[in-house]
Amino acid sequence: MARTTLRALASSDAEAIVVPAGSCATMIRVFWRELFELAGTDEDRRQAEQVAARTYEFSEFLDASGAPENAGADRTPTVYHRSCHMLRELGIDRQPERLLDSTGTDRRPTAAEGRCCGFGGLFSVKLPEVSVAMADEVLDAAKGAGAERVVGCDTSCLLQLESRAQRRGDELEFRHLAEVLDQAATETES
Amino acid sequence: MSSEFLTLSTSLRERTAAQVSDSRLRSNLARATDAFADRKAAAYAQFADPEEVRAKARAAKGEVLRRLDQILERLADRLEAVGAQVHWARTDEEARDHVRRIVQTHSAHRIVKSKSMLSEEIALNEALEEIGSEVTETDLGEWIIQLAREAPSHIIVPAIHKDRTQVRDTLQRVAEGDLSDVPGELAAFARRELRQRFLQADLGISGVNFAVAESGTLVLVTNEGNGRLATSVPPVHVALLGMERVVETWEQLDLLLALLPRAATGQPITTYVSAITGARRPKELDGPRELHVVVVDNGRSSILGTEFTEMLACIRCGACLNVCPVYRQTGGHGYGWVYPGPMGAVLTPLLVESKGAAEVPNASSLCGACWQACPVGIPLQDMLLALRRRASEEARLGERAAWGAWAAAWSRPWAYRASLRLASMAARMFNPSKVPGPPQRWALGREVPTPARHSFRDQWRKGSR
Repeated sequence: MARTTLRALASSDAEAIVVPAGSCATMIRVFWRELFELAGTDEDRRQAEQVAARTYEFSEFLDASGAPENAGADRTPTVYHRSCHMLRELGIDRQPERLLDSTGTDRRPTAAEGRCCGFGGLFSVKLPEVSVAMADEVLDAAKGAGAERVVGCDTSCLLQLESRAQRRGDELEFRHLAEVLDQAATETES
Repeated sequence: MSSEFLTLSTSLRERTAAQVSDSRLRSNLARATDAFADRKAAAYAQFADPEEVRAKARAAKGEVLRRLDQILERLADRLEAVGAQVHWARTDEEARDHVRRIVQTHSAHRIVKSKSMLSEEIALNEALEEIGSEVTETDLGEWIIQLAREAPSHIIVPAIHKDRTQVRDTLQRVAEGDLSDVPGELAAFARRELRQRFLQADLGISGVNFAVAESGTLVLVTNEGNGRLATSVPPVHVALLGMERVVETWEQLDLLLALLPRAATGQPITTYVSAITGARRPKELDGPRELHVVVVDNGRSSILGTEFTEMLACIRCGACLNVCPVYRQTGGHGYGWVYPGPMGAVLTPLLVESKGAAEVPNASSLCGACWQACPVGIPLQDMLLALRRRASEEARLGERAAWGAWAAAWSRPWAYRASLRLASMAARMFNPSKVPGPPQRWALGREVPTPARHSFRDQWRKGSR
C-alpha cells in the first residue's frame, strides 16, 4: 500500500508535497525509511528518501513560506492540540501556534500540553477504555482553560477528541488549522 | 506481593479497563507524576547542556554493553579481591536457590530488605517465606505494598497509587493504637516499627543501582536511609545485581548518578548515596561480616546483540512511567508483570515468553513521550512498535488475511475509492455501534463519525469547496 503511494508521489516532479495531517507526514518522512528497510527494494528506498526530502506537514510548510496576512478578527477562546508524531518525531512545535495566533484568536495554554489524545490508531479499539480516559483528560484540560474550540493539525486526533466530546455532550468545536486559516482569510477578503 | 496483581493470564484489556474505572487511582497518579514532572524540569535545568549529558550517558552505557562480558569479569575479580562472594544466576530459579542457600547456611530467620525490583522479578519473598524466613520490606512504599499484599505499581515509588488515607488504612493493620493520616506521623510510626526489625535482622538483602567494575563497588541510591541500615546492621548482606546494571569506571558512574535522581524524582541527588566496597574489614567496628553478590541474567543475555540491546541501558529511573499518558490512566498493575509503563511494556515480552507477555506492547499509543523523557535516550516507542510487529508475525491467520486484503484493496486507486463509498453507504445503513469488533469498541464511549457522502476527492474534482 505504501509502495502505491510512493510510486505516485515519486512520479510527480512537484517541488513540495504538502500533507495536511501530522501522522501522515511522519509516516512518509520517518517511518517509510524503516518500512522499506524491512520490506523494500533498493529502488523503493531511493524513491522514499527523495520523496521524504520534499514532503512537508501543512503548518510547517505554510510557516516557512510566509503565512498570509489576516485581519485578526477571530476571538474564539481556542486550545491548540499538539499531536504526538508531529511534535516528537518531526519536531514541529511552534509553527501551528504561530499560524493560529496570526488569526487573532484567543489561544489558551492547557494543563495537558503535549499529552496524547489517546487515539494511537488501533490502540483506540484495542484498549478503548484507556483510550477514552486519555481523551477525557485532554478535553477536561481544554474546558478548564475555558476553550470553546480545539484546533489541531491531525485529523485522527481531532476525530478521537470530537467523537468523545460528542458522547460527553461537551460544547466544543473541533477544527483543522487549515479551516481556521481559511475562514480568517475569507473574512479578510470580504 | 500477591499473584492477583501479577498476572499475564487475563487479557491486557481486562486489566487496564479495571484500573481505569478507579477514578481515585487516576487522580492519585496524576497528582504524583505531575509533581515529579515539575521538579524534573528544574533539576535538569542545573545542567549547562542537559542534552550533552544525556548523549554522554547513552554513549557510556553503549560502551559498557558492547564489552559487558569483560566488564562483568573484571567486576567479579574486584569483588572477590575486596572480600565479596560472587554467585552467577542464569535464571530466576538459580537466583532464588543462591539466596536460599545463603539464608539457610546462616539460619537467617529474620530478613530485612531494601527495595529491589529484581527481587520482585525473581519472586524472592515468596521463596524465602516458603523456607520459613520472615521478610520485611524496609522501603516505606514497599512496606506498604507488602502489608497490603499487592505488587509495586511503580518501579521507584511502589505505593504511588495510594493516597495518604489509603496508606493510613494499610499501616493500621500492624498498628496498635489508631493512626492519623498525617504523613509525618505515619512516617514516624514506620520508623519506630522498622527500626526494631533492622536491629533484630539476621540478614539484609538489597538491590544494586550501579556496580562499578574497576573498584568492585556497589552503589545504592535511596531517600530513606533504609538501604544503608539493611546493608550495614545485619551480619550478612546479600546484594542482587541485574547483570546489565554495571559500569566500568567511576567516571561513567558520575554521569549516570547525575541523571538517575533527576530523571526519577527531580532531585539533584538522593538523600543517601551508598558506595559499598567489600564487607567489614579487620579492625572495623561495623558492617556485615559477609557480602554476597548474586549476578542475575534471567533472560537479559538473550537481549544482547538483538535490535533491543539498548533496553539493557535502562537505569530504572521511572521517568518513562511518569510521562506516559497510558500509565497515568492505568497505573502499574494494568501491565500485569513486575515492570510497568513503557520500559515494562518493552521488557515484559523480552523477559517473559507467553502470549500474555507478547500483548503488553499494545499498552501504548506510541506517542513518544517516553523516548523524550528517557535520560539515556532509549527509543522505547520504536521498540514497542518492533515488538508488536514480532507479535503480529505470530498472529492468527484470520487477522493476517484481513490485513492482507485491506492492503491489496487500498493499493489500487479504484478499489480505494470504492471502499470509501461502500463505507459511507454502510455507515448510513447499519448502526456502527452494533457492528461487533472495532466499530463497537470505538462506540464504547465515543460517537461514531459518519463518513461524508462525497469524498474530498469528489469535491475537488467538481471544483467546489
